[in-house]
Amino acid sequence: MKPVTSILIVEDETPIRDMIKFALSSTGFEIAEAKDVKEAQKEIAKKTPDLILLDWMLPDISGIDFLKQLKQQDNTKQIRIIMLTARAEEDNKIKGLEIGADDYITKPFSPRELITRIKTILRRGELVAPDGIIKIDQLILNTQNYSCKIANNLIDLSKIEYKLLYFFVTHPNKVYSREQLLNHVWSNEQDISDRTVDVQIRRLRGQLQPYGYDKYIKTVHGHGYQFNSNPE
Amino acid sequence: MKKTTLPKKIVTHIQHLERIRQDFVANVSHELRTPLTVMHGYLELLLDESKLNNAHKNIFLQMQQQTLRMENLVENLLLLSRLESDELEAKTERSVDIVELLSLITQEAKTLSGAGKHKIILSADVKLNLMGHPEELRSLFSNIIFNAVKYTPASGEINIRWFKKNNQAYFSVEDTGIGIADEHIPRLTERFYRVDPARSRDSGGTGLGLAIVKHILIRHNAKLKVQSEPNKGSIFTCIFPNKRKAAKK
Repeated sequence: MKPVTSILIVEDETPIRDMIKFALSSTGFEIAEAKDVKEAQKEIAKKTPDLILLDWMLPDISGIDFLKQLKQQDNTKQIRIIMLTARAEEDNKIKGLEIGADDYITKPFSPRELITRIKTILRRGELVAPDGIIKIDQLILNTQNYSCKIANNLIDLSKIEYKLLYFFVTHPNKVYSREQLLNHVWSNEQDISDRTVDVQIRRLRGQLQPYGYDKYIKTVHGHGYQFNSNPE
Repeated sequence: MKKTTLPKKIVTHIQHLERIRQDFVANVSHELRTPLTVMHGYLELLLDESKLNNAHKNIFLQMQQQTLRMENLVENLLLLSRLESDELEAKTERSVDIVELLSLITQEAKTLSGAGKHKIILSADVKLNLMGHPEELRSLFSNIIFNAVKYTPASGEINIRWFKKNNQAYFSVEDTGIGIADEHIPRLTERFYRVDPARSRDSGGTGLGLAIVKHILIRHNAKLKVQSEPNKGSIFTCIFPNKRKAAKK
């Protein structure tokens, strides 16, 4: 029997915690909750969650400092994290992604959208093995040495192409706008534009095309791009 | 009244009061996030419950609409207060693909028009990009375009243009809408200024759109020109200087 996925909600406002619990009640996930970092650490000690919904502004330790802690410890660095941010926190959002958060959602948010993001991030778990190898059919991404092979042929990806592919593979089957891709993959660089995303997608597709793997990256007109883990 | 002719003490005091006002607005808007998050979430979940009867469904729909209205107001207030406080760093600026941005907004405008079946036409110079802040530019163009939809009767025509002229970049929106009388034009960009309160509230406006537009234009060294005649329509034009232009790579 497949083990139940457990989610930890770290949020200091009780009504928001309750609302999220209610939203997740139909999903079958096991839910734990904490109103600050101290309680969150107690819950993690009881049972390591698969995913944490992390509010940015917590009373004792800030969300970002807690995130740093989690990413530095061996027993918690694999836990997936979705940040719950406020509108005015652009920089924090990007910093969070750089430190290793998997995604973010801005309050007020749609519970439906939150559940979609949770499921997308969790799907990554099916692909990443303990030795850091990600396999999609015959495409193998080695996250230890940052290499990419298809059917045992080494693909020479640039740093950005690798980062872009890694992002897609760990966030499959969901559309991301150019703006979101810029936030996730390029972080705080200057001299970039929406067109930069298009150029890099074209280059990445070009690298994957000799083996037919370019079709995994789909253009969704008017919205952005999506990585299909099961293209037709 | 030029600030440089006032005694320094008074100028400092005015700036201090401005600061207090901006912080107050920002703090209140920020505090409203939590109640809005709770209501937004529960209302969506309640509406998903299939066992609601029509009367109850309508009630929750109206509550959801009003919640969205509050969210828009809060978002606009926060944006305005950030723009006013000059705290947004220049480093978030980059070359923005205006054609793509306008295409997206035009799509949204068509959805907004809905049963109104407005004729919305976009003619844009494909090679003309702009150096600026992407989110702000999105706000700028959306506000002007959505206003045109809101204040133009059904089946009216809205022409959105993006072009180069005299070495500058022009964004203009021309509509066949209800128009604006001369005496209102200088006051349009004031916060909460309403030409006709009843009409603007019906269309769900927050009264802050053009104030936001004004600030974003200042931050992009651009200016606004409004030409209008009651019952004939309006043309809103934003003119960006040469140094803001960027070529598409």
